[in-house]
Formats: sequence, structure tokens, C-alpha cells
Amino acid sequence: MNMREDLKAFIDNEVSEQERTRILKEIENSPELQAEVIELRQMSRVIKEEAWQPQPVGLERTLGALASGGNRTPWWMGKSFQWAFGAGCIVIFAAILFPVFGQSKDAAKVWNRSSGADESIALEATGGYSAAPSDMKSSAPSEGLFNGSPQLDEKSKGTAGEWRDSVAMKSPAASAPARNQRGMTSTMPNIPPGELPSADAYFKSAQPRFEIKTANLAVEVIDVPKAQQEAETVAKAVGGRVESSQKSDDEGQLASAELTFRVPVASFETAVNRLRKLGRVLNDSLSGQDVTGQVADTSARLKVMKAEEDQYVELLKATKKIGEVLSVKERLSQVRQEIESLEASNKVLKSQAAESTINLSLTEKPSENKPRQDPEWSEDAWSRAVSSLSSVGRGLGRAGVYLFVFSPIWIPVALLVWWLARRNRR
Amino acid sequence: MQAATDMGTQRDLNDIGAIAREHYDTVYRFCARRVGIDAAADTAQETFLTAQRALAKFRGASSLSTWLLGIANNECRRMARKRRCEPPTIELTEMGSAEHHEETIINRQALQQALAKLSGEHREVVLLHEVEGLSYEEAALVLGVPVGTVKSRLHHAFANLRKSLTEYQEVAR
Repeated sequence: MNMREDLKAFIDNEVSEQERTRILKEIENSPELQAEVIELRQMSRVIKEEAWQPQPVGLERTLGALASGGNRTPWWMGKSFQWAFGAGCIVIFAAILFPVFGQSKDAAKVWNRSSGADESIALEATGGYSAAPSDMKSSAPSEGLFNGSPQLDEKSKGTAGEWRDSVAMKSPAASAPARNQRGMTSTMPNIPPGELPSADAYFKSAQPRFEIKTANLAVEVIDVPKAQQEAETVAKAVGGRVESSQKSDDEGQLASAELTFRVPVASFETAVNRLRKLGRVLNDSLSGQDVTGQVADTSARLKVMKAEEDQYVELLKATKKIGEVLSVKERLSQVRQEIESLEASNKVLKSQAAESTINLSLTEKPSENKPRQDPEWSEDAWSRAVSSLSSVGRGLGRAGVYLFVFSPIWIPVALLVWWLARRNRR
Repeated sequence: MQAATDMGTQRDLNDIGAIAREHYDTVYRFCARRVGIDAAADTAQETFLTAQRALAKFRGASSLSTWLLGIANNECRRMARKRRCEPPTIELTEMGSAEHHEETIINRQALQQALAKLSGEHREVVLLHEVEGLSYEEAALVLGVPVGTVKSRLHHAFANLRKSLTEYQEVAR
């Protein structure tokens, strides 16, 4: 046993009685060991006596923590983490919601701007507010446009819109431009804003609307002849008629039929809904063509031509010279031809608008050789579960992308809040 | 040293507050010498909180202070890792009187430098035995090592201190 290794233990009284006796004997016989013992004792005493003794603090806080149970909450339930998490969520929501509100504000601004523009356009274009619908019809050719002349006013040609504008411009009821509530000028008299009708309402009241409605239906039926009879019954029941009918029943091929009905426009939707119920609808399309403008234009031109005709008739009566008579008659003939053409065109448009067209295609349902099997509930449940799982996965992925993209925003905020909370806790 | 008084009665063991009042200073100083003044209070608090939860498991195999210092040792290691504290140092204060100075042949400045040169393990056993006053057995329980290891480490620690002091004296000459 190494004496020197036990020397420190001897000094510290950490040896057995037997070892102590042995070591003492060794020390007594060795001055070197004696010097070492003295040195070790002094080092030990200096360290013991002069080691730094810090002044204890924090006892009350510790007692308080002990009194509260001292239950350590999981890190995710700690207040620091909760504050940081809350701050991060607020930042993320603000970043997500703010652009949405910004878009809503922008949309509202655009809407207000466009509403104001529409109103100003309506006010200027329909300067005939001062003229009632009946007044417009009666005053059209003779008062404002012709002033007695048989020659057509250039402005009376063209579209109905231009005709309306020309009437408005030359109507004696039109006053000097006045400013309405929005400060916009118009050619209308000073009517209080609350009494101004909208342009659309004005036109609706001014003249009837003409719309050519067309429906194209393709229906799969079990018995084509029977379905055809039912379809014809439906058309007649709503006051319509069969315009055309075509059947196809070749051997080896599925039976089919093509029918065209003309039904009153008021019964159009009723007829379409009933025809849909004949079988399984394969194709369904509805369309409408507003020909009100065309009808109005044609009617206006017709009036002008008729007025011109009257003028030429009067002129013919007053003319005595043969040359002038022939010239007037030639012109009168041209005018009458144009009148007939316009009347025919108008009639066709009105007829098409009065009676809507339904094109019905019936096809025979193919027979099924093997009975259709309902999917087993397990297969159905599996497919639904997989679909739901993929939806959840997509949702989580979307959330992860949002977290990642917004991480430069919410992470610093969360760290700051966490650091402040820990600092306050200390 | 404190084994007899620290065993405590059953009544005392149930009162963690009383235990904290009795041993807080020792635990605090233990922590302060290892993790520094800034973290000492937190570490001491964590020590007693851990002791509160583990009090039921205390069998009395060691003294209560030894058991608490064992917990404190673990808490100090955890805190040192978390806050990246520097290794414990043994600081000597200049509190000795002139008379006391004359009685020793030890140069305090040299001893301070020698203590700073000790390895972490040697410094730990010196702190436990010399500064905190634990016996070899108690130090072994706190560190979780055999008694012979504590004895060996102390021997080598003081041998290194002596060697450093000798070198210092030779340089001073």
C-alpha cells in the first residue's frame, strides 16, 4: 500500500484505526512525510477557511414554489410557450386575413366607382326622361325629325339607341344641362334624385321586351314512341304545337326521335321541366336572345317609312306634271317595298319571341345484359375513407406550407415573446 | 457530520418547507459554486422541487443533506448544460488576518492559481470535501462513485496542488 496515497485520508481521519497506527509510525520516522503532512494540512485549512462563501438568496421564492405544489407543467403548457404560441397565431391570422379584407375593400371601391359611372351614363343616354313613353311614340317622326320634309333625317336611320338619343336631343322638353345630386350633368330637367327611374326600368316600361328563347334537350327513355307521344301531349297542354318530328328505328340500332316544339314564351319553362321528366336527361341547354333592340329599330324604321309613304301620297295628289308624277310613283314604290320588308322582318322577330323553341332528342336506353351491382359497403367505405384521408393530408400539407411561408413573421415574434416571458419569470 | 441531525423524524420529512429552511443555505452555496450566482437561486429551487416530489422515495440510507446535495449536483449539471455555465471554481477570499497569514507557509496566490489548474473531477472532490465539508462516503454518494475513487481523486488533487506550489516557489526564486 502506497503510504503517500493514504496520507491525505489520514489527515482527514478517513482511515481505519489499524491503518492510522501504521501511518503514524511511518510519519514519525520520516521528516519528509512530516513536512508533507504539514503542507497538506495547511492547504486544506486555507481552502476550508478562505473558500468563497456566497450569501444565500431566494429562500422565500423557493418556499412559495414548494407551497404551490411545485408541479412542473409540461413545456407546452408553460406560460412562456403559451404566450409565444398565441403571439405566433395572431401574426399568422393577421397576415392571412388582412389581404382578404384588402381585397374586399378594393372590390367595394370598384363597385362604387362603377355604380356611379353607370348612373351617369344612364342619365345622359336616356335624356328623354322628360318624355313619357307614349309621348315618344307620337312625337317621333313628325315633330322632332322631319319638320315637314319628306327627306329622311340622317339621325333617324341606324340603331334604336341612336334614335333615342336623337329624340332626346331635339325634344322640346329637354332643358339645359342640370347637375344632379352627384354633380353630374345630364340633359334631363331638374327632377329630384329620388324620383329618377333607373334606365332598365325605364326601358321596361317604355316598350315590351322581345326575347327568343331556345331549349335543347336530350333525354334517354325506355320507350321512344311512348315518350314521343307524351312529349307531344305536354306541348299541346301548355298551348304549344309540334313544328317538326322525326323518328328513327332501324333494326340493330337504338330507337331515337327528334322533335321541335313551339310553345308560348310564358309556358316555356313549364314545358321544359315537364319534358325533362320523360327520362334521364343527357344534355340540357337553354339560351335566350334579346331582340328587343332589333324590334324597336325595325318598328322605328317602319314608322319613318310609313310617314314618308304618306308624304309621297300627298305629293302625288298635288303633282300635275307627268314627269314629276312618274318620279314620285317610283319613289313611292321603293318606299312601300321597304315597308313590306320591314314588316315581315318585324313579324318574324315577334313571332319567334312570342313562341319559344324546344328541340327535344329522345334516345332509347340500351338494355343491360348483366344487372348493375351496387358497390359493396366495404368498398364504398374504403373509398370514402381514402378520400377523407387525402383531404386531411392536403389540409395538413396546406397548413404546413402556410406555417413555413409565414415562419419569417411568426417565429421572431414568438421567440421575442418567449424570451420576454422567461425574463419576467426570472 | 450532520448525519445524526439530518435523519429527521417522520414529521420533519413530511414538511418540505422545514427541510428547505434548514438546508437552503448549504444547497444554495453548493449551487453557486458550480453554476454561478446568477443561476444559483433557480438551481436551488429546482433542487427542492425535485426533492419534494422524491421525498417519498427517501429511505434514509444517507443523511438528508447528502441526499439533497446529490439532487443539487444533478440539477447543477442540467443547469450547466442548459446555460453553458463554466466549470466550478474554488475561489479563496482574502479574509485571513495578518497573524493567520504568518502561520502558514502557503502562498494564497499560488494556491489560487493551483486550484484553477485542477481538473473538473479533482476540483469537484476538493469542493465537496474541503469546502462543503462532506466525508469521503458522503462525497461518494453525491457523486455516485465508490469511496475509493473519492480518496484517490483527493490524493491526486492535493498532489497536483503541492506540485504547482513547488513550481511557483522555484519560479519566484
